[in-house]
Amino acid sequence: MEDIFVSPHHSKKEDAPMTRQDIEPELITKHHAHLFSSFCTDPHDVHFENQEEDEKILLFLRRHFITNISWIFITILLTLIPVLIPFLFPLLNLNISFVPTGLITISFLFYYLAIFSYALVSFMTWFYNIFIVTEQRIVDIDYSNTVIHNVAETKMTHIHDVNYTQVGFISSIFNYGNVFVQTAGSEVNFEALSAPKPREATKIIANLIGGKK
Amino acid sequence: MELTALIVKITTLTLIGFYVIFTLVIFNQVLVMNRIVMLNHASNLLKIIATVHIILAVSLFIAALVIL
Repeated sequence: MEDIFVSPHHSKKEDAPMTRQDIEPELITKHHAHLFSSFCTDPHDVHFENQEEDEKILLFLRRHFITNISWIFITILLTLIPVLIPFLFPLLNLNISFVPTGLITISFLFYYLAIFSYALVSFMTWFYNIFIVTEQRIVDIDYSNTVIHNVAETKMTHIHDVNYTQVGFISSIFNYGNVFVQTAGSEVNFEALSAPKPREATKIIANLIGGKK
Repeated sequence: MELTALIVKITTLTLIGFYVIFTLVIFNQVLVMNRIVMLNHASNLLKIIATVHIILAVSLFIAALVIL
């Protein structure tokens, strides 16, 4: 009797977990991760704690640089405020001639140093919020402020699903979105928020976990 | 007037003193984060910036101590 359905033959290679060689070549090009990198495939100069000797980083993600625009704008605005003070005080009939010059100088310097630290902490919050995908696992490094940081990682075999959302006008223009990685059971889910090229990132992770998206 | 000047000086120095401690916390965070993830040149640059930040804060403290 003729077979109605013959299941496709699965080779050993198809059942095995994907490796770097299995990922589509156009997604893997060697890159140099510089100070402002937010999407980098196969970065050769990035290393993380507990990285195995033969463990290669395939994807390095941060929030899109455009998401820094708010604190950069605030910094510029705060920097300009003291320049306006000599013009504002006469308008408001305020007299500061009784304040010693030394105190004014120290106050100005302190003010600018405080702005500098605001910019530095804001930059660090962006710089150290990193999402790393290697051949074996996903590492999510979160840096909330000067006293809180969180490092989470999961093996590729624990990942169930990966998807992304790209909502809004600005995120569409600059091509960034949120990448969500769902893990098995009670493990925490991973997310790379405002990541550049979310479709490509999802594709890389999906290829690694075995299901082509 | 002397008392007011003294109060202003002590208040300013205390504020800047706390700020110096804050810069040390930032520097420590940079070191901790650089241990967790290392991006060759970029991490070193951030360490240099954090060091300069401490130097500036300490310089301001000394300047306040002398000028006020």
